Amino acid sequence: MLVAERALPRVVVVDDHRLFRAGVASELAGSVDVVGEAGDVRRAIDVIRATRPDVVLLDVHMPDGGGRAVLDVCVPELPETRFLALSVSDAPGDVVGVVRGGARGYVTKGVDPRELVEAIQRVAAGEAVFSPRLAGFVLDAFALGGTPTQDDLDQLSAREREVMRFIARGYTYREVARELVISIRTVETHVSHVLRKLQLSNRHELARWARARGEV
Amino acid sequence: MDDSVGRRVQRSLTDRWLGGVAGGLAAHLGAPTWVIRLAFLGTAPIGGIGIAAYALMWVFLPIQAEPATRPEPGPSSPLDFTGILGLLALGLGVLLGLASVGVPVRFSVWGPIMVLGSGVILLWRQSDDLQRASIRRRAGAGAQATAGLSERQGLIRVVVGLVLVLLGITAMLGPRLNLAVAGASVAAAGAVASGIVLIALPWIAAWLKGIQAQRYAAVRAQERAEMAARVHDSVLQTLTLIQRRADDPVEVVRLARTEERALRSWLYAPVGPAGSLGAALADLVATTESDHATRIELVTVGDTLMDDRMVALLAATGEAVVNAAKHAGAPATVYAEVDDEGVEVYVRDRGRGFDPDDIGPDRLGIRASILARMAAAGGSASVRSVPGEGTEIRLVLPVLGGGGARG
Repeated sequence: MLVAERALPRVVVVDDHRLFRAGVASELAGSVDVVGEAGDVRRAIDVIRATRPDVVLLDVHMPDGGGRAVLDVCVPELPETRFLALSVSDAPGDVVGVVRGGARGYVTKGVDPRELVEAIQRVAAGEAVFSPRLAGFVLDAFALGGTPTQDDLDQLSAREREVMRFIARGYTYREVARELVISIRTVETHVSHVLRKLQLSNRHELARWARARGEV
Repeated sequence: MDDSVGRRVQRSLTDRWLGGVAGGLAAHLGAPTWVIRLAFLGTAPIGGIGIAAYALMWVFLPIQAEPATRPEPGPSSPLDFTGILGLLALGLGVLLGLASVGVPVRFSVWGPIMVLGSGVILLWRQSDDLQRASIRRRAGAGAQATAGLSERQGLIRVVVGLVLVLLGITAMLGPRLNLAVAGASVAAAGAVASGIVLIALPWIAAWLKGIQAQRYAAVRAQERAEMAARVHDSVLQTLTLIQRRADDPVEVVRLARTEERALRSWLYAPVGPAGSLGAALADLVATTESDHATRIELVTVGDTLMDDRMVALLAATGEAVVNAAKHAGAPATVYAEVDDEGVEVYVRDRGRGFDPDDIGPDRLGIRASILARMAAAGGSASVRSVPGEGTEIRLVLPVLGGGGARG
């Protein structure tokens, strides 16, 4: 599968703003292969089914259910396709919604093009992409301290918490690896574990936190 | 009708026994409520003028739209069965009094009327209270205003009211009632009534729907007006400014960022409650962003209330953030974490960086303002900077009396 890994990631851009789609497509030109675009939920599902891309850049806010509606249909259907959520809003309710819906990462639309390409590559490789904001959310939701429960999904390990704190402070994975004297690969593994916990944990604080801090 | 005040008579929301008619009239005329009540009661026996007038006003006068300006007199005890009983007793007393003086009073007529009246009052009160509750809710007068009006209570009231009305009617017709005939005529009347209801049902439904649609339309119109005002006041102004400053990219970015933030804080809830460290940091970051035309990402975990020490921490953070914005030439991140042990703030930029050892204590603004400030507040600060990679300033403020700083 060496050839497949070398090839540019095939990407579908889903956003209801045409201007934004055009902007992203031109920013990403040369770094990824944009194989499709869609401006609404229904079109998005059709395009994703037809093109089976590596990564879908998914706008959180769209009419008719938003990114979550696309995730609900496509995630069970296409296990090979990864989703990276894009949003103008940092509302925790939105973040937790798409991540629990199956997105492997979350970046805000103001993200630097270079970082966006990096995030797409990371998601294409099956890793998780955490913005500082999302890391902060995880730390807050899996409250510092708190009562330990039986369920492993409800707890961050000390190392995972350390990694999250560095990411919240604005460190890249590479910098985190250097600080903790571990490999980037290990950092990626920690982040993936945290993503899994975020997606699967039934911890009630998640819902409470999202309600308290955000809308929807 | 005296309309010199320039507004219509409204039934009182608070000052009431039955429908708030007397209270409303009193407020309108500037007379004490008891005088108006006495007038209604006094004219009641005269061919029922007082009763008829009261009933008409109850039906046709609107309820006062906004709560009275004066504070509500506690949880206003809505006149319930006890009140009705009181009125009945009063009526009975008057009748007995008249009878004892020698006036011929036909209790067989007045008794049923009083029973019927009580039933009608109960039923009217019920529909009235529902309206009042919704008015109070809209005015945000708190839950306790409607607390006295549970659904079950309402149902009981309706049932009792209906029973009283039926009893009253039956009693009125009683002497002339042949039970066998009565059964047939009740059935016939019931049939006619249900026929009328059936025929009228579509209209009633349409009417109710119309009212609801109107309400929705009003709410939406109001929201749209608010939105339009907002867009006009800020977004359009900013866009105009941006067009004029098109030759100055830094200024354009600054304007766009400022507007973006304003819109965000309007659309989404602010970061933390007012008076919290989170809100203060958000404010600080916003100001710095617009002053220095740069991007600063703020992440907060946990929150705490502002106090003197937090103010010191905030000031130190401000220095660090401004420093990052001025010298870094690249986006910065502010991370604040509050837990049981204290507060930690990290200000990180990806700018040019510097070697802290190279800069003497006299030159370094960081040392003077940030370190000194933190030390005075019982905290500490450290600077880490690598030329070419950026700078990170760490501020630690442990809880007073607690252990030292955390690692």
